[in-house]
Amino acid sequence: MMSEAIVPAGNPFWTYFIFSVLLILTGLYCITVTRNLIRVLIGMELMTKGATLILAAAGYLTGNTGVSQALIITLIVVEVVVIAVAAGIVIGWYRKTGSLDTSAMNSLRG
Amino acid sequence: MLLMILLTLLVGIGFYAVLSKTLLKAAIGLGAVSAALTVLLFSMDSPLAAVFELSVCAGLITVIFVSVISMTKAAAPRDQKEAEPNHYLKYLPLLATGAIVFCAMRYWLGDAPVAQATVTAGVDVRHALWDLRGTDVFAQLAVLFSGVSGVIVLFKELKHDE
Repeated sequence: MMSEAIVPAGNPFWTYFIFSVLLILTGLYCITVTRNLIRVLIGMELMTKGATLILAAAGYLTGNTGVSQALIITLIVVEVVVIAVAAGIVIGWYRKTGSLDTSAMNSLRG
Repeated sequence: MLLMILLTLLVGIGFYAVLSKTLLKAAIGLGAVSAALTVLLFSMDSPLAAVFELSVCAGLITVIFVSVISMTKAAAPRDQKEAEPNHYLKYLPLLATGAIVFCAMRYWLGDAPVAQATVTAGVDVRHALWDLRGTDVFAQLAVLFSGVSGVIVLFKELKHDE
């Protein structure tokens, strides 16, 4: 298998990989199922946690923690800015409509 | 063994955050996920990333979420008002300036591709951040700049609405 040629079976990478995929899927489930804007942001956050875990694991297992930490720090900075702006949008939307329901956000529906 | 416990705890708290009925518990659960991830990062020889994760994700982002939840609970639904003209176009030059500075810094840095041997040599994080990923630092500044401008614009708009 192609993936086994890159990372052999039994490598500890797969443990981290499975758990990070679980985290990403949990976040995706949260985004897909809920209609609450704040829960959508929480789901997005969980997905970035999964990405952080896999980045850190890749750095740790290959001995390149310097590069992986640099990438994680960049990811965290982008994450916090996205959350701050999204939080402002959520508050603005709530004050305008009195609702946090995503299905009510159809102003631009074509 | 400890690794498996931590990873299971991480995903378990993630499930709790998603499945909890109240938003406040979900936000606190998310903070707990960040705290668990911090322990994992420390165990994976990434102390700087762990400190960032703990202070920014477990701290700042949890505070942002709790604030958003409290603000959306306390505020009463308001009547629709007439649309006001955009007052925030004046912030456009700030964004343009930020973009120009960013581009200038990028050219200054050069950011030439580095040899694979250099990247895979397990370099120190300071060297990785400033020498190998120098553009990322300025990209972070640009993103922060845009984010601050965005937040200012959004809250300015809220102030206009009141």
